[in-house]
Amino acid sequence: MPPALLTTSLVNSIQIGSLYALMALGITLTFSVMKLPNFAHADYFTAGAYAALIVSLSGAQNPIAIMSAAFLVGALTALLSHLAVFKPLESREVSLYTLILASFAVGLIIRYILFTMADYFNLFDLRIGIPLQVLYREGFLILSNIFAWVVPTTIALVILLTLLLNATPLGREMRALANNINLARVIGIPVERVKNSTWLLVGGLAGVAGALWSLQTAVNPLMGWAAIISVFAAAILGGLSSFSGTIIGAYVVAFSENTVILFLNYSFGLDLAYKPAIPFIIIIAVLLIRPGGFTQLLKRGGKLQR
Amino acid sequence: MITVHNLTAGYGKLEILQDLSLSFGAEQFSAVLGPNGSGKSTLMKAIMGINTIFGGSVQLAGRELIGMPTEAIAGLGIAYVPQRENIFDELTVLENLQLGMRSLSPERRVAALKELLELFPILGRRRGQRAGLLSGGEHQMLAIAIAWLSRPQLMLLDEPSAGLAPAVALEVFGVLQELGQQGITLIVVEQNARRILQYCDQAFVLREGQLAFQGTAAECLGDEETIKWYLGVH
Amino acid sequence: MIKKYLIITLFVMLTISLGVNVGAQDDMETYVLGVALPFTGSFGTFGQDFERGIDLAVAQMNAELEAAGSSIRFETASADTEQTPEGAARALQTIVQTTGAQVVVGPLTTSEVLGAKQFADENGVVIVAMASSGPAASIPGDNIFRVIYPPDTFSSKAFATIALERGHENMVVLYVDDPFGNGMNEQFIKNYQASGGGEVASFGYAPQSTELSAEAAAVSAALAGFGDNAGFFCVCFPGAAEAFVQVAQIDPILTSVQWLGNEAMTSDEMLEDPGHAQTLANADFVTVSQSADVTPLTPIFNADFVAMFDKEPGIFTNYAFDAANIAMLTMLAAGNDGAAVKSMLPFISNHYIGTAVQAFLDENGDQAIASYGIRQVREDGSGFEVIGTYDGNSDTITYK
Repeated sequence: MPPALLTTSLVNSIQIGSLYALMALGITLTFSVMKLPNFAHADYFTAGAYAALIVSLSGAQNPIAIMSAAFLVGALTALLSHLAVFKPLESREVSLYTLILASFAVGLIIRYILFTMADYFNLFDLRIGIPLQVLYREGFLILSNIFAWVVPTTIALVILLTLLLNATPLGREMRALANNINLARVIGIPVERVKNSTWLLVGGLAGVAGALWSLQTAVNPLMGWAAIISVFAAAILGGLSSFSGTIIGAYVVAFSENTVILFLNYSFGLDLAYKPAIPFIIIIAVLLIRPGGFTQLLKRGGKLQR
Repeated sequence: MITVHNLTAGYGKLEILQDLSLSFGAEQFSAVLGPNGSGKSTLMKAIMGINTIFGGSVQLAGRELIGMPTEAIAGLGIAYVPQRENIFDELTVLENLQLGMRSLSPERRVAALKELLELFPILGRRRGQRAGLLSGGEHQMLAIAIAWLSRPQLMLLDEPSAGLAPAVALEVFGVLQELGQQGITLIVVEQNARRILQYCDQAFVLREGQLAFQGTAAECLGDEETIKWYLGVH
Repeated sequence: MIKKYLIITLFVMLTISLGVNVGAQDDMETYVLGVALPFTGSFGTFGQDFERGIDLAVAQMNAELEAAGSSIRFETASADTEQTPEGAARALQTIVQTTGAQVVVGPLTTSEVLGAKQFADENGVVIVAMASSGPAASIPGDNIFRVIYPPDTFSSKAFATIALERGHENMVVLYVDDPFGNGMNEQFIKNYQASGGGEVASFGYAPQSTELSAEAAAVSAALAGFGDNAGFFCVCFPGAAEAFVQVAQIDPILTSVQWLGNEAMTSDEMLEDPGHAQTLANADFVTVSQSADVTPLTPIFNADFVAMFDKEPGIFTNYAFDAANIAMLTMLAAGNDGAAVKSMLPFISNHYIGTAVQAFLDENGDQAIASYGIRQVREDGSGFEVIGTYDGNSDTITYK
């Protein structure tokens, strides 16, 4: 494999892996605290991307403003889907399968609302108005301004999230809910309020990931849906329970979709069009070989730790 | 303190408690006894609003608890220690304790924690450890500590000595006695009747969801019939 | 109880309304024109605009039929192909089974057309596609007619010729891995190498991809491997085209070679982004696409479209309008019968001049008039200008 190809693909793996991580952390958090594998997560991401796009089109090119808007819209979309759909269903004690199906339906509804909006205002395949520039170049290594936004933002958000979960009362309560929701109720933790906060956090993270994603590729109503299988693969690699496992999972998926496939293409002529099959292969392999994912491998701490 | 009136409760469609009426006195150490399936745990869960209530009332100092969410009942100064899964085993011991005193003001927290470490010195030594790694006795102490830290007026404990070695069980009962001396009303469900009757003031014996006996610990111990037939101890 | 009454009431209302309909249509005959298009997916905007073009054609035809005292009226029945072959087959099945339609306008891409083909052939339903151009659907005697846009067998030749004229000794192709992209890639390689071109490295990307970093890295490495005098040919869908240019614009190799590409690379969205526009300008980007002539009908169509929908028609919307007209004219001549329509459609097409180009079908039922414009992006990236024409029938390029 030529060094230029290897270098570029590794940079891409890190950039895309960071975005997967931001989304997959939300999936892990939802699964841990709410016991819900939420497929509508994809569409909180898309909603955030559209919020970012609209703020950008309205003239504000400040990345902080763009990401804040995306956080807000993603967070509210997630909270609304909880209050309108998941919470009433949970109170009826429906099965997990019903909840998963409902999450598909919620995602579909959000997606088609975005579709209708995008059609009406003609907002297909547009991009945030921050131009791509080369920030750093040394030999084959090229880092863009978007890389410089995506990767540090991801690191900062992961640190903030870790602090929130491990060093604040709210984080402690979230982990208590994840660990033992009945005991949480018994000791008087306001379970619904903690759940609402979790939804806001999860949706907000997805929204920011959407905003960052739209820095590098065009915004359309299907973008979240197109990425969700990779993101679920990352979360499943992480065992759906640990943050460190999920983050490693995200980079492994991105690395497979960028570096590994290019290596296979270069060395063995494997068609690049097989790229979308990679997350499926990862999911099946993990479920068959090591259902606990990296968490089981790491054997460190418990649910929702570091 | 707590008055149960004509309570019918259970799980799903299953009725376990049948039209039960009884009353627990304030600042008393009450034991709820009875064979397996007699409805002891069901009574505790009904007080906490965890299971299905088919009818009747549960009142705390004249205030109706039925219909209130569990979190709100906990907020009234009732702490409940379930029999199983009564700690957050994936969190550290300290985090468990912090969750226990989440409703206290910061100043009271400092005082409560200090007092707690005198009562349960072992928990202080284990505070950084993951709670799931505690031994059986330490585990049960932590569960009681979490409940106690909310500074409740009333504590409900479901078989706190279950599965513990006899010496450790005695330690647990010693702690309960101390809590009773602090003026906390205690209601304890127990299998081992002879042992708890050494510590408690009042005893209630349930059988098939109904009250079979009610009296002081001494009366209960003196009633050979009850001991033999309803408690199945020798 | 209330529910029961409600249901009875609704049932009565339904019966009455059906009765009224039947009464009013005593002497009327309704021909159903099926419409199978992608209303969702990355071609969703095209599909929705195409449907408007078809609705306009039907409204105009019905008004003329009424004025002429005819008893025939057209009615559309549409279904979403979801931009997939399976979706197209389902859409066709839904339309035919619910309305008995004999003629369906659409679908859009070649993969959808091929997806719908089996059902159409087996059930004698005629498909009139307006924009599909993949050579894979050029099959004699089947029920598929592609009446406006010629197959890519022609344009791939033009691309190959331009690549050679530009002195590209080797080529790298990025193509969408579906019948359209595969066809273009294969035909391009065949024509390029037959005329003396060197090696071609091709990379297919999955049609649903919206993120093409890995693909861009592969293309860049392949170009680097070929050294100087290599060129790049991009056959992408809209959306993917922008995603590719987005990552390509900081790639040192991709920004130093000349590019050829299909029409999707020339969307408005592409040039609205200054970085993308500049990248295409630096790459001397050239595209070959069917010359959309202005016929006397073109401005009328545009004005009528704006009057009816209060918006400008999108690109190729007039193709859908023309396809619908060819379908309806054939049905008026042959009757509402698939077999008769199939037999007569080439004759009607060959006598039809619509908003864009004369339709004239070959033995495969495909547009045989292959007249293309060659467009290059302006140096400042502000738009495209026509630099020449390509006559596919005589295989000659004429530069202005």
